[in-house]
Amino acid sequence: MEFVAALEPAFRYGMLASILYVSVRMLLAMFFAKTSDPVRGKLTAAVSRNSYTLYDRETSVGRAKTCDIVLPFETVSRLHAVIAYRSHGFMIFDTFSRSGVKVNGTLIEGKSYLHDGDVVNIGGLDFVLSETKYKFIKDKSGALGSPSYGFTLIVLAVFNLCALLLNLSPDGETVSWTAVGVYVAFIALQWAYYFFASIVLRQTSFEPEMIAFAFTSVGLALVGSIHPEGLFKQFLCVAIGVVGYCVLLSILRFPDAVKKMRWAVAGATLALLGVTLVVANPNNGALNWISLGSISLQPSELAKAAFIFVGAVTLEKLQSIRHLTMFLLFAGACIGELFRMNDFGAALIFFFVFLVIAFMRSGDFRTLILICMGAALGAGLILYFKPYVANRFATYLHVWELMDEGGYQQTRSLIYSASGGLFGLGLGNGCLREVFASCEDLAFGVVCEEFGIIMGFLIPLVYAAVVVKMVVGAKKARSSYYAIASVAAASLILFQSMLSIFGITDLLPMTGVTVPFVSKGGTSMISSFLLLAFIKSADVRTFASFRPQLQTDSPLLDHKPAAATEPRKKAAPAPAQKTEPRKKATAAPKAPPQKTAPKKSATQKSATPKATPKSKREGGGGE
Amino acid sequence: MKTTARRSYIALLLVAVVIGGLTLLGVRLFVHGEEWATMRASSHITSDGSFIGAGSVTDRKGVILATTSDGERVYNDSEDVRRATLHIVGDTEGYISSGVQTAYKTELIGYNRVTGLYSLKKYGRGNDVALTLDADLCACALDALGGRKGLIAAYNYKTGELLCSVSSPNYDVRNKPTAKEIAADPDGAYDGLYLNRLIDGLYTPGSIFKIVTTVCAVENMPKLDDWEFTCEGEITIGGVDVTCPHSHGSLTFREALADSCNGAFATLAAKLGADKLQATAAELGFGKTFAFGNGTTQASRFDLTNAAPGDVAWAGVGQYTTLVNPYHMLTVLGAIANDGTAVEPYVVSSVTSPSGRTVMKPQPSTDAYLTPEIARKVGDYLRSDVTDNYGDWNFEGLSMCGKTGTAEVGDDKEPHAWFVGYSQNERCPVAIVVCIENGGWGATSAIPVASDVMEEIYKSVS
Repeated sequence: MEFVAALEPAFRYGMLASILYVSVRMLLAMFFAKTSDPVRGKLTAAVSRNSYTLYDRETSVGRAKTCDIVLPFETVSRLHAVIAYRSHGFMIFDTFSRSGVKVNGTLIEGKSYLHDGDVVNIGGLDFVLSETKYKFIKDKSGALGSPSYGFTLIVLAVFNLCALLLNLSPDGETVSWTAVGVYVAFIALQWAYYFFASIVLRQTSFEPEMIAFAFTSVGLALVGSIHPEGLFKQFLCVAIGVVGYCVLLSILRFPDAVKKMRWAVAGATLALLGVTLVVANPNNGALNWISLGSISLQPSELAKAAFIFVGAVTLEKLQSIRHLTMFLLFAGACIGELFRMNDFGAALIFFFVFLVIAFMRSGDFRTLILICMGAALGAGLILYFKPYVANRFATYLHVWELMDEGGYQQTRSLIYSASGGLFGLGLGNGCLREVFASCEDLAFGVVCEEFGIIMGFLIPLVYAAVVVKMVVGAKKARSSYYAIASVAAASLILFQSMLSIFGITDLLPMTGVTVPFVSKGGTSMISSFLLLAFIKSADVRTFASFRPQLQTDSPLLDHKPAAATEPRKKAAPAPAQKTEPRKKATAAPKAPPQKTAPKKSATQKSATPKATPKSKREGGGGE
Repeated sequence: MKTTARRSYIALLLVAVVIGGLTLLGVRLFVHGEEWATMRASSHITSDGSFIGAGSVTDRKGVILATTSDGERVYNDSEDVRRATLHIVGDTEGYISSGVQTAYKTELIGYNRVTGLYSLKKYGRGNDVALTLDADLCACALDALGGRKGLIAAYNYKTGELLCSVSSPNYDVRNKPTAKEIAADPDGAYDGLYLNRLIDGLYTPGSIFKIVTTVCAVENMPKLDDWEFTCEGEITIGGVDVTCPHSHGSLTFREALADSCNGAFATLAAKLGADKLQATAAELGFGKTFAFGNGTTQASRFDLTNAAPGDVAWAGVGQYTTLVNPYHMLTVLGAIANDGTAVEPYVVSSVTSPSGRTVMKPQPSTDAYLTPEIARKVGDYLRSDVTDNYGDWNFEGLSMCGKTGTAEVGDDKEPHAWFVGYSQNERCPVAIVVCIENGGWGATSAIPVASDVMEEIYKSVS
């Protein structure tokens, strides 16, 4: 053990540097990744020859200015339709438009698949869809955008080996083989995930996962040091979390499947919370645990992921169902059950996530303000009828006066956070670890004391940066489902971290929640990894490999040699006949429509001559 | 997608709140970090109430006054030394706020903002603090005080090193009085137990204030040596009687100071006037606090605003509302001794980290109070006090200058006995202040104490 003691300063700086490197490097990669924005096709107005590029993401069509494709005609509804590029190619959804959507002359019911050359009639306007042909290529990124993930994993392994050496012998004499086993398995898990995700899930980028692994390593180091007996369980939950993450990510690949599962998940969530209320073990006053033999579970944690799963919607849903009633009821039920469990921290988190999702779905401030007022009224009523609830907040802003009573945890967190300095006292040298719930609620303080204030502050700052990235990236997400879910999940993680960190430092009342990925806690670890799947889903690279990739960066490839030979003379007069398109293209005789799954280029080809009288862009038309 | 993406900006509100909160938290940690990290509630620093985190406190010869051993705070073996250095070293519990163990807690613990308490954790103890005090001199002074309340302090007026400081009442840190004992204190034996009287005391000066009047007279009366006064034991100024213990007869200024004639100084004060006296007092640092270590001293008070002529007369002999701080008086004497320039006394000579690095080496601050001419002239008068009145044999070989004081504190209480002075001996450039609360006459109570301590100091330097 002597050599560990001798190397202690190197460990201290090395561990900080490795986590700093991984998180900063990964954030840079997230922000600077050059992701291609593949053009999947274009819609060309049959008459005006105006063409609209269709990208990989959902495209809303309507008269409203907020639509992606704005058609300023009376016959077009404000939010008329949504065109999406899903696993089987293009689809169009009629979002309860007045005049409906026709595909090749047939009025569709709700939705229809689209194929190359199909004529789409929206509010009387004909459009011809042309698809792009692709080859698989990899995203090209600059140096900042393409890190070496292998090297990142090696850096993480260094951190974990340092943690292992420091935690090798909990009693100071014998070597803990559990620790050795867990750390070897943990490092192996990271590499296994890397290879599995590269090969089976066809991932090319791993930034969120690496950040999660980094913070999980910090948490595991704390658990191994403070609760060595809980190390294996913690690791096991990380492993389950990673598996859960892979499964959820695979499901999220199919928005249509997700759509079908949403209400089943909602029902299951409510049922689980209900069961918890009935069979819960009173745990520190909160009734949020259920025990199954030796395993205890905190369903409210799993409910977080489920809540986002249910709350997020695809664009066509968003555009069809413009009220929030069902989601509001679901959220109300969840929050109500959490209140009955006395799990106010979780209730607050759910309420916050509800607000984020509700706003992203409705964009309506007035509704949200009404809901907030309602919530404030509810809170007021609770305080009025149950005044003891207010006692929970009695110490808020008075922690120093009550430093050996209600303010004990907060004051000790501050005292020991300050004691750590910027670089910490080294793993195992802290005193906050002796305080109740140090590894869970007070994790931020313990990190500050033992790993340093830099590391402590790094965690929420990285979470905040991830939220920013999710917001910035939302417009490129393949589906509004991913956009909403990723922003909601990242916000949830940041909000919960904030409640935890500010709660124990007396900036906010203490609610006893944990810091995601860092704090000890099985269910919350699993839940954090499930949330990670939502974050991951918004990245266009995540599912890119399952879809054809564009060959070059050029905006739209002209892929039809046949069309190229077509005469272009008709182009000139087109702009004049604005009002006419209504009837013009109705004769769309060839319709191999709807349920034909993967497009067959052979059938399409026959359709092209008539449907695409011209295929060049304006340059050709001016001739 | 455009709309959904735009709505997601709402989440940036949360980011802003978090960044704002973290900034606030960071500022708080920066501002309060030292206070928090050095709290006694921290288990890094205390264990079972014992101050385990701190390094050693040593005297000028390296004698350990307080240190941490096996997780316990231990003090010097001699009870006399423990009691004598109590107020400077401070206690384990932190009741003595001006004590080094409290005032220099951060340094002793070794906290800094960058590395926190890392040094404490690494070496198992904080920084060591070396004092300028001589523990033996302190013990000797404690003995000379003989259990009476009051204080003795002596310092090198050329370097500013505080050599000896004792404040009484005090107690043995190994056997500290319980709160109950202190509360039930029948005869005031624990009055101001936790105060270092040198730093926090404020006393009526009595005749030692005549030094200030003398400075004022020297500054404003060029022909002071020609001035004469006839003392009849009582004089009325502004309708107020100023009395002497007995009639001094005809006196020159020099004789008046040596005999400490109240009538003569009251007359001088009236002649000089309130404004000049007030100006001289300000020049000599009245109304000013001094930095002592990481704390500050009490400011001496001399305020003749709206004083009647009779009040000015009494103020000139050190009564009226005047209150002096002993540390300040020591500094004034040091200034006179050092050709008018005061080197402010200090007690912490260095702070050394466990790895041997000097973390801090305080430099004494200096302040020119008087011109060298005036300082020498005043010094000359003060020398006469000792040779003509108190007896040079009290301070053999020291060429002592000084002034006694017998401060009336009202009612039927005994007066405070004062002696302030300094040695002109080049080898022993030391100034001393002795104040014995309700000790009686300065000449009979304070001089013998000062004599014992100065003799010991002289022995220690030669």
